[in-house]
Amino acid sequence: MLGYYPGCTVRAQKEDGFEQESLAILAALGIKAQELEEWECCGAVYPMAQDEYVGLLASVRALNQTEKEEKDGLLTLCSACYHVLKRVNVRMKNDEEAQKRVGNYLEMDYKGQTEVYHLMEVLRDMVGMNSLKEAVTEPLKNEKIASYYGCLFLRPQKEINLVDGENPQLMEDIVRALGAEPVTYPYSTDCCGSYHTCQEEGVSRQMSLKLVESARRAGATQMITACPLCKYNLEKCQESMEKEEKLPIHYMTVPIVKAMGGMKTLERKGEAHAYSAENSSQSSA
Amino acid sequence: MRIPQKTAASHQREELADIIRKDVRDCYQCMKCSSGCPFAEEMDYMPHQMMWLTNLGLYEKILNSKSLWICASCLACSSRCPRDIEPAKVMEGFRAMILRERGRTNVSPVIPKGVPRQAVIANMRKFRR
Amino acid sequence: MKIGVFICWCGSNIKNMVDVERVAEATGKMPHVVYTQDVQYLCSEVGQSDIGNAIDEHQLDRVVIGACSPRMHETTFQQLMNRKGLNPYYVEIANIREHCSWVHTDKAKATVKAIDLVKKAVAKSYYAVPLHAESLPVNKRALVIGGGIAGIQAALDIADAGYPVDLLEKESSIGGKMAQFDKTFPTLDCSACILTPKMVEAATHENITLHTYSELEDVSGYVGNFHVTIRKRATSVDEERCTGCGECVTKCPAKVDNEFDQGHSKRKAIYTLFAQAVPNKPVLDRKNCIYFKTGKCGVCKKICPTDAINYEMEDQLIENDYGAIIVATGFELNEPTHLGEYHYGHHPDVITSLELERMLNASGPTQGKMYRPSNGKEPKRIVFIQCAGSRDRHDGNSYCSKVCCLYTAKHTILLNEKFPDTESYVFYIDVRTAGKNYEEFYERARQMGANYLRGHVSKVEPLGDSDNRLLVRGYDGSLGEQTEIEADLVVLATSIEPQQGAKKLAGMLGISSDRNGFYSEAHAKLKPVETQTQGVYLAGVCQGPKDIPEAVSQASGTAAKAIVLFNRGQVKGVPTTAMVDEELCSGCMQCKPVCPYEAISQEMITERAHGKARQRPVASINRALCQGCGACAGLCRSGAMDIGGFTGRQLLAEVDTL
Repeated sequence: MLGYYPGCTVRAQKEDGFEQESLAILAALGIKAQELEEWECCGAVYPMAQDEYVGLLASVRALNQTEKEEKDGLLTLCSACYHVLKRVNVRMKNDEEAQKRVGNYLEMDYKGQTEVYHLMEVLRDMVGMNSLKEAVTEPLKNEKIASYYGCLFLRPQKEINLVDGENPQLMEDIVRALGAEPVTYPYSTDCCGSYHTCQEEGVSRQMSLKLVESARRAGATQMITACPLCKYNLEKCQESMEKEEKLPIHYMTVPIVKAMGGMKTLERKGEAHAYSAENSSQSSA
Repeated sequence: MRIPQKTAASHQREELADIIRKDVRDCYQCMKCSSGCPFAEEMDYMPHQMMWLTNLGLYEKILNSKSLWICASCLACSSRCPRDIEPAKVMEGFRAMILRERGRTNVSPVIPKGVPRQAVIANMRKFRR
Repeated sequence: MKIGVFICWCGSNIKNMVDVERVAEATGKMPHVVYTQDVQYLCSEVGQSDIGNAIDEHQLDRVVIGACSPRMHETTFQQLMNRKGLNPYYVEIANIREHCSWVHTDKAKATVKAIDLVKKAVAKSYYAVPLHAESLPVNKRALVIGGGIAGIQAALDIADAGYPVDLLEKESSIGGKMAQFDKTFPTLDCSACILTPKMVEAATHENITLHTYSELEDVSGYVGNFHVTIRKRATSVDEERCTGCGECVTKCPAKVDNEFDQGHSKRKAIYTLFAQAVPNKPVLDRKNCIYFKTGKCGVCKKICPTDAINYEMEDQLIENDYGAIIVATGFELNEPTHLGEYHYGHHPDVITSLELERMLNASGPTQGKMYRPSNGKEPKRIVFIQCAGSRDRHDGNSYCSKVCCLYTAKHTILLNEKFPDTESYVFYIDVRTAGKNYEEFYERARQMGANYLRGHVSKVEPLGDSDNRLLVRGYDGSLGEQTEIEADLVVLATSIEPQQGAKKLAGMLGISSDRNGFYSEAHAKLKPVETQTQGVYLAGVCQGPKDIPEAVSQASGTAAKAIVLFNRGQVKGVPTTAMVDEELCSGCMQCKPVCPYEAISQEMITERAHGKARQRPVASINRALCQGCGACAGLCRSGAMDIGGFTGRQLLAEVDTL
């Protein structure tokens, strides 16, 4: 059983369906996750200043809580949460000064024991691409999907260590498993403009537009991402376009749900899994 | 430009070093940071120029630069820097120096409707105090 | 005992920070010191004669020098002692320059320290014992490890001087990396045209024995007397019978990637390395041979007109004695897959410089035609990325590979000559052209149209267009702008690295490597071809990145060293070796395992006690092997072990003065 950390953005934007879809996909594939009893905002940015420790506290609480609840790791969906939790965890594993200071403040002894997982990592490492492929009932034959990871999943490579930061292939593998064609396009590992959207809006728009145009030129019929902010920026930059000109931007869960037969099918499968788990002493995941 | 008689004082250099724990003097100006920076067009000083200003001790130019508030820590530069200096971290160091002591920021927020919370919080944490 | 103390000013080097007169005065008060003098330059003729005159006048039998490091002038003073009929180990040097004047800023304190240092030396000289070096015979035969251009040159020079040489090469042909190159900078000589005559000369020289497809198995011994075991790998082809007709190669059905062409062509499982291979006889690569994998096939054996194929052939161990060993093992090129931003290994049109070199080579996989590996079409726009993994602390080697600037200039020149409608762009950090006619060569490259852009490329990515081209994202420092180029081919100047097996070989030879894995020379400036192990010399890139003329000069340098050794016919051992006091030695042999040079063995001595003769074991030192490191002396519990020139008594006397 994984611990689940929703994060403020995903929870606040519940109506987007990212959370619901992600959990349904995992349940249908036999992966169980349960929301942490207590959690708070991760802080949204990892404190890069080496002498700053306050920014670590919220994440350490969540990581420690996961251990306290005896979960097999901490699942998160939002790119920022994943980035911050994972980097804080690496810091807590290797930085004795941080262990001491954070430990004293929170009165706990945490040294980076918890594993942090993202949805796409769970699909790769716990489910496996073959099982995912088997679960596909309606292959997305005519879709050419451009994957956009966003910086938070890619860098710094040594700490995040989710994919090859310069030539990531994980979302592409998922796209392939769904029966669609992955699209390679320039700038795919560049920044979308990030939180400039709250300050220098024009900068964000321009950068996102460059990405969207690049994907479109490479023949994409849609773009997928796992980052709420990237999704917002990539959509927002196309605001003034005619509807048919727009390149659809989706959470990565959207094509998965579609290929697996829609939410109804997923929920049914999830219930079946829960039922069979209840009736046998073995628990999956 | 005439290099001024007074460049960054040693306590300022130490302050920066404490925050970033990197030696910017390792920079050999290969410009790889500027070549891959997705924000370069918006910057008044390119990332490699920021590194060079740091070495020259021309902190005032950096502290008054626009680039500091354009960098969004996407880490493209840091992940490829052949000298392991991590320019994004150096930028963060100068931002922190301003936010911590000088109490000023060059950024005024605009929060459009529907913007994800993540962006609002990140913006606050990064650019304001 | 009469001791003379001489303090050197070293011009102003010492005098500015140390009150030399006070030093002379203070040490003059020590017992047995009968004469002191401070001199402007002790190493000068004037200084030398001052010391000589004082020895004569005051009948000095010990000389103490306060001057620079003994590494500089110890021999100068020892020779003076010899001329004056005194044992050279009766001179003691206190280093008051490197250890004192150069590193301090307070003259008063530095003077006190200098006095202490000289006093220590005086005290040590009280207990000096005369030492004599032993002479050992030299086996006048050389082993050269590595058959690249450096190894070939060294072997030829030694052989020409009349001494026998064994040339060891791990591949099936000599020639090394130079055999893979097309042209050479800055003259654009055809690499093969200037290399192959030397290869043939080496193969036919009466004093050279080739051992190809062979590796070093074991080394023991010391300068003048190395005992070496060579493993000659089974080629499965009888050298005597094989005529090199090539029938077997033509008919062999197993095709594998040809390493010599960097995988841009196929070779057979039985193959010769390249057309001009020396020796020009095929070897059978058992890993890829169908017969060895499945037990079926045997085509080569059936077809061979001289019945030279022997599947049962086994590795051979050859043992030989040598007086000198020359290490010329060369380098490898880094495979830049770890630099993800350049997309090497992900897109076929991102290649290394050596791959381009093979492409340009008339005897290469395309007979000199350029092509894009992705679609076979001729590339029109080629981007070169310099320092791809060199000078890179983050994800590569921190050193400069030295030759890339020039070979890239060469590549752009060759491309412009052969394919005038191609465009070359070179992204660089610095262009380094130190070398004769190198700057002119770089100028020529630019004049012929190569576009040099100062700035490191941050990313190469597929453009996603129908031609499958690449987008190179860089920065042009001159324009001060990000610069993107749509390229047909991207060439990475990859980093030069030590051979994979370099460490293992260093262990066998007892030589050391630097932090980058290249072999260390004995002295960066003055002993550039020697190693810390006497009789082992370094030639070529195994010691550090260098170009062909440098490798060749260094090789000739090693040859000269070996020839000097052979001409002399004997070597003087180090006199400052370990010495055993057999009376005190209990024969516990604790010293044996700590000796890094395997110089200690057990010996039985006969003693007379109470009128009876009895045998007793003691430690014995091989003075030829001992390097005087002192590990044994430090460890010896009975105090039986001492180091000549640094006895326990001498060291204690030094401490006592403090």
